[in-house]
Parts: sequence; structure tokens; C-alpha cells
Amino acid sequence: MSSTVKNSNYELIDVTTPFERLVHLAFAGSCIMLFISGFALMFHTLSFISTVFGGLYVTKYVHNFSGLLFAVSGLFAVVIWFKEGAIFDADDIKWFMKGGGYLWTKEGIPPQGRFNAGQKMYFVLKASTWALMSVTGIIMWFPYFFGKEITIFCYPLHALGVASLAGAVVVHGFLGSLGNPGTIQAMITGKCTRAWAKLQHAKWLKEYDEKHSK
Amino acid sequence: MNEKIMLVDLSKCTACRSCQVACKNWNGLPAVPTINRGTYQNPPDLNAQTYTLIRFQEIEAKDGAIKWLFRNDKCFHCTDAGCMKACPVPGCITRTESGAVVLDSTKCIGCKYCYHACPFSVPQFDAATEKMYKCHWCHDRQAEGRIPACAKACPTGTIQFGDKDAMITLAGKRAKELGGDASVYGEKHLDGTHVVYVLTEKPEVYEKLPVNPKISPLIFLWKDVLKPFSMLSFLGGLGACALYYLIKGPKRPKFEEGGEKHE
Ligand code: SF4
Ligand code: SF4
Repeated sequence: MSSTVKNSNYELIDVTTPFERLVHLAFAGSCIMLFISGFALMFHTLSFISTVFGGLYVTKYVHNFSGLLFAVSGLFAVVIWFKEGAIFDADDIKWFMKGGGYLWTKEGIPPQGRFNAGQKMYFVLKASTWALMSVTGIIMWFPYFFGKEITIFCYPLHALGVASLAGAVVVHGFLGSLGNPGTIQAMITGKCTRAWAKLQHAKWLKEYDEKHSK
Repeated sequence: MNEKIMLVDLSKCTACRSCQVACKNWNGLPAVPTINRGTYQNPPDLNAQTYTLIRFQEIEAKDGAIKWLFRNDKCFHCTDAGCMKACPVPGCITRTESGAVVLDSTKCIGCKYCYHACPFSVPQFDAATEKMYKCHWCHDRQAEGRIPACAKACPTGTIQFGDKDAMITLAGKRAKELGGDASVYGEKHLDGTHVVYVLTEKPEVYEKLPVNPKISPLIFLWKDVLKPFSMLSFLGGLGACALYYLIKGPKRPKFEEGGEKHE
């Protein structure tokens, strides 16, 4: 198998940059840590999870410092992916109308850029909850500095962030791994196969080929 | 053990602070140096070393004279306790049979949720230990059949401790006896607090005493609505993925069609 032969379906193409992968790793990793520690802190029935960290006291700090990493890596994430993630075009609308090809049909899905419309939607959700969770989280960490009236508002807002994110994070994780084989490599090695790009991100592949045809 | 009530009849209080000292004594709490702020109220507020505090307040009486109000302030041991609702640590804030709401500081992780959920801002944080402290109604003394230290020490009969019904009746009688603006405070709040005042003035006259203490609806929204929704959201996501995988299966790239095949 010659995986580097140009234009073969097995050709490996660079789809992400090392910096993107680092930001994604930090953002996703901190997010997962936050969910695990946060659920242990939110539900008495799940507090047993805290034993892996060494008790709820440590879990609180795991949550606080994962939160810091989340806030910082999230800032980079928003900056580097804003253009590709937050701007929707006509193809994205069509994609939504077809349910992204995941639900009732597989046909007629318009070719997608490097991020498909679903990923863009996830980006928008993630960017807004990143801001919400970082701000409310820091206030909850240092409540006496901000005062009781402000802090008490942050508790339900923080939980609102969890409620809107939890399901989406699971779905995102699933679609980026089991649901779409070939995607995980894009996050780890940064390479994808031409066949994967054709199926998932044809518009981006076209641009890529135009750039690399010379 | 029967459900108990601590009746604090403010009309009898002389601000001798025996309760404050007895509380420190029983709980082995050190005095904290403060500065003179021109008031006998000392320390200025409840703190991690002061579970009960006599508040001093001057008001102008109807005849223009200055009147002194004293209030023994501490945890009310609410039946609907905001602190218990908010605490993330199982077994950290618990209730005893007599009605005490006990915060086990050794289990506390210092998240400060209880302080914010308490309508009276009672639990106090100690930065040195990173833990919360508050009045525990001498549950340790009660377990031995003794009354709380403050009630024991009070020389004027301001603080009385006894069975719920007897105390409630006593409180009502006393408020009636005093007449005027006197009223019973607590028995109707938060499903009944276990510390009940007989106030000599209208509740709004007292500093730092909420007229109508309630757990904030924001705490309700947080713990009773959005918290279950978080779990629902997580399980929903998980369920949707599992169904999708079983029914539709993964979306695999096609290596055989189109393009040249190199093997
Ligand atoms: S007064 Fe505050 S600390 Fe005491 S039981 Fe009620 S909510 Fe808890
Ligand atoms: S500060 Fe301590 S007692 Fe208060 S809610 Fe948090 S863990 Fe519970």
C-alpha cells in the first residue's frame, strides 16, 4: 500500500496544523476534566468519582485549574477558528436542511469546507459557553471578591452552561471518533486520507488541490 | 429525641454576652483581635471563630429617646435549609433529630455555596483552613442530654431551649404579653426555623435580619431545574449516539470508488 501516491484515495493530506492540534487537545482535555470533576461536585450520587482525584477537596482544585486551562485554551480556540467556525454560507443552510446526512437522508449533502455546518454550530455553542463558563466559574471561585448578589446569579448560569453543553460534547466526541472513522487521525497526527476528505470536506479538498496543483 | 426549639426573647436580653463567651468556651474558639469601631458589637460580624454574636443597634424610640436593641445572631437551623440544599459534599451538612443543622467542617471543601444559599449569610469561611464554620446547636451537648451552651449560660432567660410545641406556645404568649410591635419571628419562615425570636420591634427595624427570609429562587433554579437538566442533556447525548451507531452505523470513507487505487 503506497499511502503517499498523489491523488490516490489513500494519499495522506495535512488537514490540521500542529498548533491547532495542541489547542484542541488542551481545550478538549480540560473540558473533559471539567465535566468529570464537575459532575462529581454536582451530584451527591456521583461524588464517588472524586476518589480518583483524592477526594472532593482535591476535585474542587482539579476543577478550578482545569477551568483555567479551559479559559486560556478556549481563547486560542476562538481566535484561530473564528473565521472558519462562525461564518455560515448557503451550503451550510442546505446542510442543516438535510440534517447533515446523519438523520433521514444521506443524499444531496452539499460539499463542506474544512468545518462542516454541524461543526460550525458546535463552535458557536462552544465559543459562547466558553465565555459563560469562564466568567461564572471565576466568580464562583472567588465569590467574596464579587459579592453575594453577583455570585448567586452565577450558580444557575454555570449549570445552564453544563446543561447546554453536556449532550453536545458527547455527540461531538462521538462524531469525531466512532461515528466518522478517519477523523481522529486529523486530531492526532493531523493527516487525513483523500477518501475521507472527499466524503467529509469536499469543498476544502478542492481548495487544497487548487493550492497544491502548481 | 424530640424536635426542639430555641426561643430567643430579645425583650429580656441585656447584652451581657454570656452566650457569646459560653459558645467560644464550649467550642474552644479563640478570641480574634479587633479594633475599636465605636460600638460594643464585637467582633463586627459572625466569623469562623464566632458562631454566635450579640448585635448592638441604636434606634430612636417614638418619644425621641435612644433605644438600644440587642440581637443574639447565629444559625437559625432552618427546616428548609439553603445551606444543606447547596452543599456538594455528601454528609457535610446534616440534620439531627432535634432539628440542628450541623456543618461538619472536617468534610467541607470550602466551595462557599452554603454561605450564598443561606438567607442569613451565616456560614463563615476561614481562609487558613479553607473551611466553613457555623453554630451547630451544640449537637454534641444535646447528644448527652444537655442544652446548648448559650442557653445554659444566659442569665436573663432570653435564650430558652425546649420541646417544639411548648416553646412555640411560650413565644406566642410572650409576644402578646409585650404587645405593640412585638412579634414571633422564625416559626413561619423556611418551614419553621429552630431558633425563634420574640422581637420587640418590627422585623425591618433590625439590622441584617431579612423581613421575609427565603432561599433565593436562583438556588432553586440551579439545584432543582438546571442540575437535573444537565444529567438529562448528558444522557440524551449518550443515547442519541448509541442509537445512531446501532441504526445507521459509522460513516466510512470509500476507498474503492473513484480515483486510482494503489495497492
Ligand atoms: S440559617 Fe443558614 S446556615 Fe443556618 S440552617 Fe439556615 S440556611 Fe443553614
Ligand atoms: S463551603 Fe463547605 S459546608 Fe459550605 S457548601 Fe461548600 S463544602 Fe458544604
